[in-house]
Amino acid sequence: MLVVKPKLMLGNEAIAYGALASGVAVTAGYPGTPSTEIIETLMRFKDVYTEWSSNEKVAFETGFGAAMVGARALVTMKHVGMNVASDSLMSSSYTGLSGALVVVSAGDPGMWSSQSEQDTRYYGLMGMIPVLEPFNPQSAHDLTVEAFNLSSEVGHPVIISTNTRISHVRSQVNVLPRREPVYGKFQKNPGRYSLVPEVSRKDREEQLNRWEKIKSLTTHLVESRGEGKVAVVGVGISYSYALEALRELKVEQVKVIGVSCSVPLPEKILDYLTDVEKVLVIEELDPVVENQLKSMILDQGLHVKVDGKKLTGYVGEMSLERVSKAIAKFLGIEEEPQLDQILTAPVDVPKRPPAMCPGCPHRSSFFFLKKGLSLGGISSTFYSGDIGCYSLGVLPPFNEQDSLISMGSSLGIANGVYRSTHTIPVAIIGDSTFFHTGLPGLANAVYNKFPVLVIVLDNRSTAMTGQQGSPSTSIDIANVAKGLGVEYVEVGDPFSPDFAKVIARASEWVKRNQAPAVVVAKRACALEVIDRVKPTQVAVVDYDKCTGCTICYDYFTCPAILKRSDKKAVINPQDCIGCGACVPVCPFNAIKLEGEKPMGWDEAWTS
Amino acid sequence: MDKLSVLIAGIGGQGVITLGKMIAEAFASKGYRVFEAETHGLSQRGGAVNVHVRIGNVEAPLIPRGGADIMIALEATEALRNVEYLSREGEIFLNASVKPPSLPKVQEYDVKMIIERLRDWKVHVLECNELVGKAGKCNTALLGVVYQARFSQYLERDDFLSVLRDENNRNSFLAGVRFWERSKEQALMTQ
Repeated sequence: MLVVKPKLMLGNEAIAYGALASGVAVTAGYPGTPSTEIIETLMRFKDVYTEWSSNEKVAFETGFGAAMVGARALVTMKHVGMNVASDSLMSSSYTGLSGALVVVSAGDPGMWSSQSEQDTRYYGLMGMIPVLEPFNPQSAHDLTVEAFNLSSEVGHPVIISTNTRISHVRSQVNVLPRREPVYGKFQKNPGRYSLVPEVSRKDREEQLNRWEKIKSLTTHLVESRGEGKVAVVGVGISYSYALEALRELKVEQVKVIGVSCSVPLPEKILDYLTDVEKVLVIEELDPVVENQLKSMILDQGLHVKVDGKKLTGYVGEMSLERVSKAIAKFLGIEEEPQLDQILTAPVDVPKRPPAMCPGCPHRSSFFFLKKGLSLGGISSTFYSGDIGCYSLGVLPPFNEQDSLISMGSSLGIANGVYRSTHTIPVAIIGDSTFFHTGLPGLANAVYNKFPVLVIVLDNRSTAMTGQQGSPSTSIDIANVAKGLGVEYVEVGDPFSPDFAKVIARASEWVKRNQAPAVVVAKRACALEVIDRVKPTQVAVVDYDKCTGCTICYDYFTCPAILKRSDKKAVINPQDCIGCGACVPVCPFNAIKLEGEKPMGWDEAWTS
Repeated sequence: MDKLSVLIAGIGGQGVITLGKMIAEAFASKGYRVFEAETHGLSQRGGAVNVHVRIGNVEAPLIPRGGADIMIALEATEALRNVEYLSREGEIFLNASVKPPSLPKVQEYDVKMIIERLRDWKVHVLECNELVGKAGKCNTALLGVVYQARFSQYLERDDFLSVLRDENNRNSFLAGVRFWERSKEQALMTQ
């Protein structure tokens, strides 16, 4: 087959190109780190249908529906998105499909940007869905092609489990040429796809038959190098770490086995273990392969000692040191001297968490929310938070995210807090999250007469993952709330000092009426604004008026505002975008904007 | 070369990821195997960011602690935060400027104190503002310095100039190259 020169690309781009080489026609996803660039890459190809869906379940169902009628479909999400999609995912394994359906779950061991590092390979075990696990960007491309072939041959969904160190690693990849997209043909088959009990029972039998076929078609997804009485099994990315660690440790007589299909673990692996006395399984997160291997060995009555999580640990990402240490312990050899001499990072380096950008409307919302609540007589409350850039409101000086659990959880959690304490809570949710899974929570609040102040931070974007679109650009959130029966709905501008009054009015209404009120804080994501209009203004401090009160840099904390040695504020013109959000924050009117307002500036913030 | 590991440390928005990408692209264009690992969980600016670039005979994307040959620090506090990645023989190319985190009541670090605490390593103290001024590009200026100091044995100047986006970036890169050449000459003269 024609192979072009290798290109440097992210693992996520490699997955996209693997899908294109497999004739993918319909693709859908919900943005989530580290999965987002797959759909973004596919969006450049106009003959492929691509969408950001409102949530992962809808994305999955879009791919599933397309594959039901014969198309080749790809669905992408982060690992926790699988929880949202899982209801239909489980059903898809019963019905099977007539095209091809590949689901990419991008995991985040180490939780760089997630609420948990859950091992989504369990969905494979739970739903009898094969899970392929790449070990570098090249294998991410190749296994995507494998996944499409397997899915279309068996008529069954296939999961690709990637992670940060594959999806967000750039490396050389040989890309296969594109194949014509395979769309579906209008057809119906309710005897297969309409899961009433009679159909489900029949589908269940067929699911088990397909599972046997899958086992016979995945035997080649385990490979072995070298010879020895001991073996190291590397699963996915851990295979890469194992290969390099063994090279560094300079040990020979060790067999290295690479596993690219973690569910079902190919029984072929037993062929490689015939002369082996003990084996170490290295995999990130949970012992999914380790447990399957132990069970297989027990089934066959073999005598091979299996080590794994006891030596490698459960938590966080794999690393060369972690793998080297585990292998050294497993082999009973001295660790490389340099491993013992590793310097640890100085503990007293000040933390530098990500910050809301200069011009971020969330900063102003949090600043005026506190003020407004105390004006409205809600001085002590529970801030039920949600997932988005505004999760950073958990940090000081705001401390306005008392819990943040999962996408759309703010309203449900707040309801529980209220029902057990009768303290009126505040639920804070972003626009994209509101449409993702916030709507049922709001419907419940109306239905069950839940006195809550709901703040929807509408920045017109799915900002945290890189400003993807959001349903809020075509659906008015205030209308949605009214349509759901919320009686008090007000839209406010978080940059305006009046925003505190908007909050105060809504708070009073909730107290008086014991029902939900919604305030929509409407202003665009600053990054999106400055992409559209080049800023030409900067904020400057009038030193005759500045008293060094510390409010702007210690209680508002815009990254562009710094503290001078005399405690007065100074604004760094290189970071300032001239949004003016700090102007009403200063109680002494010491900050003003300089320069001429660019054309289209106000429209960019408010449209 | 067997392998070379470069750690880039800085703050989101300083061009840390772009710098890693440029190094990866230049080495890849000469046929070296490269892995460049980015951690960009949140797209907001202002958080601590590091990028791992591994070149040559490597399989894994992350540099082990104590394994980096070179550290490029776009901000001084970030050099301190990431120093555990550097090998004992490692060299630091340090932009000697400090930026406080966007948190209330932070205690700022002093550059001199940071340099003092890095005394066990070879530290090249640079100042982007002196190298290229406020209009130039700090990340590409440092790249020019590191190219001339460490990469010129493997790559041509053009390997970088061809991956740099615009004139400002190319000029900043060349300013870095000239800076290193000048400081070498001065070192020779004083010997």
